[in-house]
Amino acid sequence: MMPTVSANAPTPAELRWKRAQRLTAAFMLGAVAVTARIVWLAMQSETARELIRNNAQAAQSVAIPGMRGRIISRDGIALAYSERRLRLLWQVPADLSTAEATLTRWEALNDRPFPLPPRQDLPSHLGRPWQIADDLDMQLPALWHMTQAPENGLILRAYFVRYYSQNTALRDILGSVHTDPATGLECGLTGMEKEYDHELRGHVVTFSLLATSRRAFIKDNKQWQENQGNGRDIRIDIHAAAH
Amino acid sequence: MAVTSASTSMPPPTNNGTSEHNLRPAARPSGRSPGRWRSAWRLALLITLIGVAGCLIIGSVTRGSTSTLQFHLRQGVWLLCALTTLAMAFALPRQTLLRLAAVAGAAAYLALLGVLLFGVRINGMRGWYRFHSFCMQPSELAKPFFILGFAWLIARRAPATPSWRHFTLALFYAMLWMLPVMLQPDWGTTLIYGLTALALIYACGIGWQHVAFLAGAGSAGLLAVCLRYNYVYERFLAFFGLGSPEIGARVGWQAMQMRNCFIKGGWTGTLFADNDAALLLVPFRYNDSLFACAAELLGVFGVLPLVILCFGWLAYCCYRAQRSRSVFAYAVYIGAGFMLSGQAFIHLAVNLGLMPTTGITLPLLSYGGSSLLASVIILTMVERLACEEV
Repeated sequence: MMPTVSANAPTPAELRWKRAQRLTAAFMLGAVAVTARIVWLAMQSETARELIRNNAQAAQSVAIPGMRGRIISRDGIALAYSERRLRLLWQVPADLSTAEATLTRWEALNDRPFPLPPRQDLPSHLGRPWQIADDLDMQLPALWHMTQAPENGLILRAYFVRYYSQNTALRDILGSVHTDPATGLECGLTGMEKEYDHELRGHVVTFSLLATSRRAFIKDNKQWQENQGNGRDIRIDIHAAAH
Repeated sequence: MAVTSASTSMPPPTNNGTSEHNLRPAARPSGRSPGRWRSAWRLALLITLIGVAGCLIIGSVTRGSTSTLQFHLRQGVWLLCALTTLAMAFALPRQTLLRLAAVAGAAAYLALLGVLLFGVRINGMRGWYRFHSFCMQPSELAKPFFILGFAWLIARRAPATPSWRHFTLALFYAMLWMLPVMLQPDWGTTLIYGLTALALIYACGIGWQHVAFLAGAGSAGLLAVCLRYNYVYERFLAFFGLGSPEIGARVGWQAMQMRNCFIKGGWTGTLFADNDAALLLVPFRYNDSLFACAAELLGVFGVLPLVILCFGWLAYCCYRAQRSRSVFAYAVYIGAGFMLSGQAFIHLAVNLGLMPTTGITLPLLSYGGSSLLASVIILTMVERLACEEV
């Protein structure tokens, strides 16, 4: 069947022109909505503005020592490697009543973020740091835990555990490390750990931890993910399987 | 469906002896016409002004950052690269430029496929090539070539009344480019490609039944994405205020911070106020949340010109499309208008809490070399075509 031809029907060019106009009109409606929303938000009262300012908490700087690099054999086996752990410390106030009041407030938290220390041991820890959680990983929930307490006084400390090959002969060659108390970095003490210390040793990375009443996050976390201050791995000419 | 015959009344876009379906407009002298260079200078000046404003905003919103990446300086270097590309595009003869565009388009498509195999994964998305500290996002660089290819296809294949076959062809072409982006997965960029393709398909005379089909297919696709990717589903839940408070706090947190920026900024902004803690809580301040951060610093009066600029670009492109003498140029104008203004609209809508959160940069202003370069190529494309048609 032949299609109907209408004398008044628009030409393709007219049709395209009209459609472009309609699309623009639809888009302009979007522009109006966007502008109206901007104006509406800007017109919020001073009270709302003050509330937002009060809810925001300042950034907290956290220094994390980088992890020491691995010593890897020719056949790709890690002969020495480190693992990073975090522990949560509470700097207990020197005054018992203040300390007890803090503990009471934490007990009242609905979804308690970390195990609380036993109340009866409180007097013996006054004015000193008290370890309340250990073996935390570097995931954000761990950092969030730290920020859930309303008061400051919670400290996050990083520490390392270095594992070595079980082989005694290799163990002597690899040497040992100690932790620098000032920086928290693992430093080579003897053997290859000492010889290649300049390559293996990590460095301290400082990042900003931002906390609100809802969550915590690391500012510029992309950069943190890319450069965690870790030392470099080294490969040595030893065949681990032969030992 | 009614088929039109040749009308006695000429359409508003005048046809000075050039066929409507002609791919190429009337031949223009490829020499150094003063009009073309005037356009080039005007465009370069405009891009420089916007680009420098972008660098200043990026510098302001990232102050106090622990990052050593110096985003504003890097953006400045990208701006210089983009201006060099602009100068080259105006200096080269038309035929060389078309050949170059074909080669660059093929390379961009290969890069888009290659990133799925060789790209680096950042924030769960495999969308970048990395060479030391230099990153390149092929889905951004492919945008101008997507428009050019679509326009070429429409100009070559568009009949007086497009049928299902033409519609399917256009859809197939759009999916060919969108599929690698979806596989990364980058839903924000997919949305921009989809919006541009939809605008082009509609603008070129496709019937309402096709548009309804697309709307249905798009909704089904969105549902499938929500079912497959939990984080997308959670973003929708958070946007509509549904789901548990935990989801609202975790997923809707960025949206809340961006909304707060507008409230804190008010009419005049906080740039000169004592605001040490300002912007600290807003993630992705230099790219995805740039508009909200700019609103906090500059206030409504400061960001309204940006809104006008975003939507003014589409109006300009439609004005050009109205005056264009070929289907190819018409499609390029529409595509360029919707690609950049659509991206800007989504960025603004997300920042204002009118849409679920997705990572989209503000063209020319947000940090991102690939995005800046692609935006400048699109602007250059439009201006160069406009010069050819004068």
